[in-house]
Amino acid sequence: MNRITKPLLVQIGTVFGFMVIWEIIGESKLLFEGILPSIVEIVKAAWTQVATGFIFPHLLVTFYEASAGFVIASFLGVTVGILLGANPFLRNIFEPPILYFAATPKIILYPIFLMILGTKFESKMAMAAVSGFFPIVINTTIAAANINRIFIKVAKSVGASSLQTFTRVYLPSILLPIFTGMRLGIGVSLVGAILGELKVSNAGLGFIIVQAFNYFRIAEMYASILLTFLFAAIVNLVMTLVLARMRRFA
Amino acid sequence: MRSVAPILEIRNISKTYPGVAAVENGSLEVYSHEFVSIIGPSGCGKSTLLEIIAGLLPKTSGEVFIKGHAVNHTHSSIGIIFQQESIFPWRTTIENIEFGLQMQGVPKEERRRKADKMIELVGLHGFEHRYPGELSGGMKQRVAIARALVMEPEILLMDEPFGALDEQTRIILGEELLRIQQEIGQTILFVTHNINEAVQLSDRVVVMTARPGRIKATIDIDFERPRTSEIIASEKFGRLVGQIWLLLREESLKGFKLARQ
Repeated sequence: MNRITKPLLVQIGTVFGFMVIWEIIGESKLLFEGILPSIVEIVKAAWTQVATGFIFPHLLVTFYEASAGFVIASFLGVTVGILLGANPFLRNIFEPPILYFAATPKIILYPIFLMILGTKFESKMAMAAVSGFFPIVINTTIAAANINRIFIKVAKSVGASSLQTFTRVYLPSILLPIFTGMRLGIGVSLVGAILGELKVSNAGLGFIIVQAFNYFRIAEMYASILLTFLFAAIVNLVMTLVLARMRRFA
Repeated sequence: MRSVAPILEIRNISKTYPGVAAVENGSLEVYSHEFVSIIGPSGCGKSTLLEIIAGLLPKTSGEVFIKGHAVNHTHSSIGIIFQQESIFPWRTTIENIEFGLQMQGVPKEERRRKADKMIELVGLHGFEHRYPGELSGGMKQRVAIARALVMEPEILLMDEPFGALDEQTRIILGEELLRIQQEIGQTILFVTHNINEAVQLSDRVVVMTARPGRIKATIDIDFERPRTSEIIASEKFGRLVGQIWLLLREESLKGFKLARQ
């Protein structure tokens, strides 16, 4: 047994053990009936959601909300981060409030978004944008503020123009921290969009979860949770792979 | 006096920061193919002097001439290498070496051809497409040397380039540097705090005083070229190191007291 297979076996064992305990508690009727439906039932419900195509429009809605928000978050986060990183005066003014606000739950802004942007796509996109913005702006600011001065000196010494120095030295040297910020950002953008859907919405993964809950269709609710979880895991995996490629030279 | 004009001439360079004089009246000439070292106690302003020559720092007064022409900012005929790691981690060896040429708008093919020559010169064959993360400290400095030399500078300024390396790597890289210098006839101005290194490499060693840095003495190192690191074992080597240390000792003690204040 080597170093890769051993943790994998423990992981599989843990999941299996969890499922067994789930089934035992569910069957024992120790909890109210229906709170823990059998795993077979959940998987069946999940399969139905996939096979009938029921899940896909909702998945797409969530995906669009999260990715549109994430694009806005990335653009604003990187731009503001570079400005703050390059300018100590601006950084002193704006970094503390950004750090404070980063630690507060962004859902408190949701009523405002609902009033301004309505209950459909736009308010969730705004939730995703404001959620993703903070990790990206914080990572970019720190990277831009701590850029290796020697790199800039090298560029100057071979007569690089300001534009060349920016695009060929400045940007590449902060690219990796920016990607790290974006990796964190896409996760919380997704959280932001789904949180918005759970509160007020008429489509999306969060919506169908809360809908199933309201009608006490518990197996369906778990099925949607399971599929949402898989979706988030895939997004995370893709970002990890992209980042691993970037890491090659860091 | 020599009849030929110096490659580099600096006249009465001074650098004052508010309340502190870093360099005072530095004057120096470096001739073609020469290897000159500047040695001094830490904090004496030797790196400051080098960055002024490179045009990376403004000077308070004085003048810098390259082949008789006054220069005031960075200049393509002046190359510089730093002690800290300076090669770009997002570029491969060959891409790092091509950097300066690329900034100057040199076409890709010519860039590659010149960079390939440098790869051979500094002995990085087989590592062209590696990223710096995969190279040792000594190899990274070879890349930095190649990146500066590919610009064909009239003079190469080196600011303690081997300072972060272990002693044995440092000696071997020094020997390599001399071979490269010999091969292309490079003029070099080298800053170090290491007396052995200064004697191993130089034709002349310029000793600086503690802050504010002034030039205290110039010692001729009359080992023949080409030379290898074997000269370290000679009696003359020990004598020269001793002579420079006697000049430096007083300054180092002063520098030590300054630092404690």
